[in-house]
Amino acid sequence: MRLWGDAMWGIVRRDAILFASYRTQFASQILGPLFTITLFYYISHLLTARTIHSPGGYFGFVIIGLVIVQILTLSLGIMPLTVRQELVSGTIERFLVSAHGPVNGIIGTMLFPLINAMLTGILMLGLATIIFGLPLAATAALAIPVSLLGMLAFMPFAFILVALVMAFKQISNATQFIIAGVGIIGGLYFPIAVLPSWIRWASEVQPFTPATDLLRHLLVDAPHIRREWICSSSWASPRCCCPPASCCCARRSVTVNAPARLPSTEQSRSRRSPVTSSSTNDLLTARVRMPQHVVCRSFVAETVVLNLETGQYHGLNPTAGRMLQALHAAPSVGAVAPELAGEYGVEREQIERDLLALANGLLERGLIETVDDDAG
Amino acid sequence: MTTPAEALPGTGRDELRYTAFGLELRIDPRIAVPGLVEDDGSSAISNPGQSEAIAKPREGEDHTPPVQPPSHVRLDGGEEVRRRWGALTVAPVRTREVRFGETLIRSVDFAEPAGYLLWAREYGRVLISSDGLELLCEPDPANEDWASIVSSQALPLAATLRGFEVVHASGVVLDGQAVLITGPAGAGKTSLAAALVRIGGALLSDDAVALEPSADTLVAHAGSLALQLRAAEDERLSPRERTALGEPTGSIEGKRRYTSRRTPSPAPFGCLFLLERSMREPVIEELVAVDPFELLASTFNLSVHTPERLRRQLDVVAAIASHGQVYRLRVQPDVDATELAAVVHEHLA
Repeated sequence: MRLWGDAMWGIVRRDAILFASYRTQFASQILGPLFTITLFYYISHLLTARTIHSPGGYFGFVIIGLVIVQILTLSLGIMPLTVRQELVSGTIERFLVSAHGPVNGIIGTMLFPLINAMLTGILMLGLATIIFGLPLAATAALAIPVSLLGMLAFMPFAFILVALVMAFKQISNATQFIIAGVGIIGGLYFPIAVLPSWIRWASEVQPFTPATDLLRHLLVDAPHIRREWICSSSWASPRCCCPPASCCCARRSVTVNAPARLPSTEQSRSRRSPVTSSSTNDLLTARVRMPQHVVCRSFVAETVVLNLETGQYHGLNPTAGRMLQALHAAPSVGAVAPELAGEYGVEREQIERDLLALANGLLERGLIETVDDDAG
Repeated sequence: MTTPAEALPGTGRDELRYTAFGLELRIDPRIAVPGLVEDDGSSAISNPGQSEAIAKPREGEDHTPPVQPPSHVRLDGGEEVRRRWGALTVAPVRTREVRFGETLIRSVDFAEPAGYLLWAREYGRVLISSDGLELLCEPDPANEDWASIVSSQALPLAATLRGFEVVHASGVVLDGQAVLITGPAGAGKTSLAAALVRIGGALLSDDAVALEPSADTLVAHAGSLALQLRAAEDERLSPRERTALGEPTGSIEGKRRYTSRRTPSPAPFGCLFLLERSMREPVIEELVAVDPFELLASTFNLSVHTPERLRRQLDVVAAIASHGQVYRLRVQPDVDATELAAVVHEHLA
């Protein structure tokens, strides 16, 4: 758990340094929302709708929606862009080789955008209060934990968008579509009461509407139109179902669509070998070698194996690279186990399991082939 | 069967001589390719694997390199590209496409025997024969600068087909060795290369350098010599510093273009800087364990997937990691390029 925390902190720190290195980014991130707040402040002077029962009138109502839209744009919008950038620059496979798995890698890259979005939201409320006299309620501080919970409800959408990026590469329109859709049915800019009845059901079944209501209640003391338990249950249900489902979706999408890369031997230990016991014995006694269409080059911290037929590169960590080198020269897979067991100071059975997992993975990808003794 | 090179009349006539990306070029004078300097006979031209300028001949060996034919760049006067592509009996394979948002801006299709068809929005098409010996241009008449696609995309592709590995890097020959700079767009590759030129370096390329695996090293060949500097940066330069960059050859997309006056001779690969943004003062960190995938991502041409090319690509990456020095150069976004060049020069000295 501590390792996981360190890894996540490392990613957040990296993203924060990158963000801070663009010196105008922070200013532009503040100026945009400030202009939007100003725009809606003056629009609110024109509106006297009876359906809005919020302290501060329409401005007090819409400011919460604007903050949520800003948070959605910075969190939901940035994530697919980040993953797409990794895809374009060819570094997406870092997620796959992460010791914490691809989904945790994606979660790590989501953390800084979420923190950034949260801070920007707080700053927007501060500006609206100081400059435009938004009447903040005494319960405003409670909105912070509620917003954090709300973000959990948003995360599945980010995961699904990541999965779509992996599958279709370019989905910037989908992000805008979701944010605009939430703006309409979530009651961010206007009360959902003004929507026609045939679409109002959509406002009730998704988690954004109750989240917005609750935040308005806490921040500006707007009348709460739902009971707390209804609100909580409508939040809890998507949070129970959506994150696991979206995680599966993202994991499936990342592993299917990303460039092939072999698991490290450390990862292989925790996985069940796909070979059966009889085929395990066969493989242990088999002689393997790299076919003509496979090229292998060793680097200081990695071995790169290239399949010339598929054009795919595969990265092996130093241990797997050493194993491949030993396998290529050995009379059988099992024959190299004693030497490697001595070299790494581990039990022979452990090395055999790792060798089998590696050989099996290499065979599946056509990077080695078994050789008949007669032929070889 | 008629080869593409034989099919067009005019071979060897009315063509100007250039050298770029390690290729000897014969170009139709109607094609004003930016960044190419007409040969004055002083530039060394090499053949892949046999760089005269670098590789030392061994005793008892035949030192005469085989004569490599030049690559011809021609203008499609009629509908030759359309005819050849239309005569295909096999379906072309799309080997590369680049999109800006949803809009396709560049693509490469391959089909034998026609070769590689490079298409770029607002630039036109270039049909490149599979052996890289002929480039047939069908320009977009609305774009006066259409020929920049030849130096920026078509020639690197032809060089790849002819046995060179082109890396997406700015390059400068400094103290007799090629110094390459890679990094993401906007990282400051061009600014640093320009600053290195101002302190005495010779520009190899602003954007793409051809590397040739040689006996015991890599040889870097100049690409396009057009250097495109951001207007804000250009305004900070003195007239003398501008003169050092070469001839001013216009502006494009808010950048001032300078073209070096002379193509530098091929130079042995010296080192590679991987530019990265940072908040601190410039830091140069030597990378002992180079990430091969980061180097592979720096190679320029992703359209050619032949086994020979893939093998060479990996070999060149392995050679960079083993022979050359690879550094991570962390810089602030607004760092002064002249100061940075001094830091780099001092480090290399």
